[in-house]
Amino acid sequence: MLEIQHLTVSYGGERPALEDFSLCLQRGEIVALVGESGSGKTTAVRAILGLLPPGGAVTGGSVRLDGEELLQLPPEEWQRLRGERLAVIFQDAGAMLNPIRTIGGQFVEFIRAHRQVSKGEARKQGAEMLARMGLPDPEDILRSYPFQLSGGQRQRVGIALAMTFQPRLLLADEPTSALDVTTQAQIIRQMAALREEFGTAILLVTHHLGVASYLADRILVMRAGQVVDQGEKPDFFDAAASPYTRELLAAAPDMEGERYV
Amino acid sequence: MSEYLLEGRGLTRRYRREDGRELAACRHVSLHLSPGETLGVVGESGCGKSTLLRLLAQLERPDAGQLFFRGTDITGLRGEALRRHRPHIQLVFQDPAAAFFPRMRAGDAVGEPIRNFHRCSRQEARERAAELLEQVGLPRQLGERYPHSMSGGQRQRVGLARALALEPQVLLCDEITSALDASSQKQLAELLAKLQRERNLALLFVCHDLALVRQLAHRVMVMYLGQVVEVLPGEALGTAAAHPYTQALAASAFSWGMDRSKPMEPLPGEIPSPVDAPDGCPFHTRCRRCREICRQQRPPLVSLAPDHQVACHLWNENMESEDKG
Repeated sequence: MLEIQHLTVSYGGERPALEDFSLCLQRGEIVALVGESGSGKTTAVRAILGLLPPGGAVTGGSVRLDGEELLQLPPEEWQRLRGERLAVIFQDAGAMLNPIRTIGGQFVEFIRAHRQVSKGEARKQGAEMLARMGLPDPEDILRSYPFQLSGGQRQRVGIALAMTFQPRLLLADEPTSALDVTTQAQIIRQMAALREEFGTAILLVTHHLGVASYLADRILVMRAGQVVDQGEKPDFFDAAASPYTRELLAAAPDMEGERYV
Repeated sequence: MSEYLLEGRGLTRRYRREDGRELAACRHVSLHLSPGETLGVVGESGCGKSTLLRLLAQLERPDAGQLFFRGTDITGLRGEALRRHRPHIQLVFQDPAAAFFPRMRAGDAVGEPIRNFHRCSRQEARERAAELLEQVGLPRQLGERYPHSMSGGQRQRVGLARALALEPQVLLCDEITSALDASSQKQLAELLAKLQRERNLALLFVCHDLALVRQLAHRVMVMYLGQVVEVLPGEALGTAAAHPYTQALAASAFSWGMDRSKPMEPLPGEIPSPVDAPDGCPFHTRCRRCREICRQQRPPLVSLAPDHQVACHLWNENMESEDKG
């Protein structure tokens, strides 16, 4: 479904930010990109979305969604694609919501940008999506401004918006990093349910190995713009994992691991 | 006389909001800390951990309750007496990039408290700062650099060096590892443990990462809506938690070694606002085992073992024993 081959992205520095990145994603599959800051995982997601920051450019490779090449897509085609066939949620959904418009207003605008429906109809669809994301009292949420919601509620609104047109591919960039642990657990469970319900394929970017291993079928370890290791469920990495992967695993605190005191 | 290095008794802090309603950020929090001991404090946003730190660092005064240092009541210290007391208790912040003046070199930032509290020359302060940088595992030359040219892990060490400059006996750490990658986190945790051993430091380690707290803390205090719901030994966090909230926190923590086939049952709902804090047990609105008494009466903190206290009606003596889980 998503087929990325030899993708290379450069910000003009000596070394590319992403080098020879290849990845295939099947329908309903969840793949996690893990790595530390600066490893290129967010660059990969931005390149797939056609949203590289100024100065960044794809210098090679291809990104195909259902056989269609995305890298040469004209801007108006991108607008149709984003939101309908692929969607994204970021670390802080609050930051991508418009602070001076109600959630309801944003749903209406988003839905009517893609479909010819009445405002009332769009609003009704919004309420349905919010209810499906496990938000109690959707009407109340629709009337709220982003700042009136908690971080967990905003993140769920972001997922509800992203899932409105049941995109085949969801890109999630550190979707739970800013949340408390119990909220994180709620959101992670919700993402697993998306796959069950809609068959959505998810590309999850996270620095959290525990989250990655819980949710993903496959994990790619990135470092300095390159994929240095990959592994699959249930064990992900065996003894033959690269030294860097072993280092990462050793650094992640564990509820059963060694203590310093 | 208190035998503890630092002790808080019934610390309470309320804020009055513009609309006249009251927000209880910290309610009757009691805690103690001995030399060479780490007390972990866990809880989610709005649980009062930051307010508690500000009370302990005496950046704010409690509305009720007392604070003791080596058995002396320091709650009411003011002016010069408070200033002279400050070196004993120092604070390290979550975001060192925000805590440093951007145009001050790292060495001067570390040396500044020394020059403020001891009569010494700029040169002496620099020399001492360089030693401190070495003690936190940084090269002396780093003192010449500005905060923006360092990595997050380096900045956090500089913050630690500055906090250690006045040779405090208590170090209060506010989410100091949260902004770091796992490998820098691990290095910082190891450094803290080493500094503690060398200096017999008492550490208060506020952190939302349960697995990390378990690694570093001798004892852990769990807070919810401004109240202490459980105090337990660090190693018991994953295995012997007694409060339903602590159990839920432990069950929500994702880690590499977890049982991935086990279905996850996240806590429903959200933390209630501290402005309209519910009557009774603070946790009752989200507790699966909530009963009538939980809605009406606040459970007292009772001892299950010498180093294990819990505030939950399930563990009160009056309750039927088969309810305990």
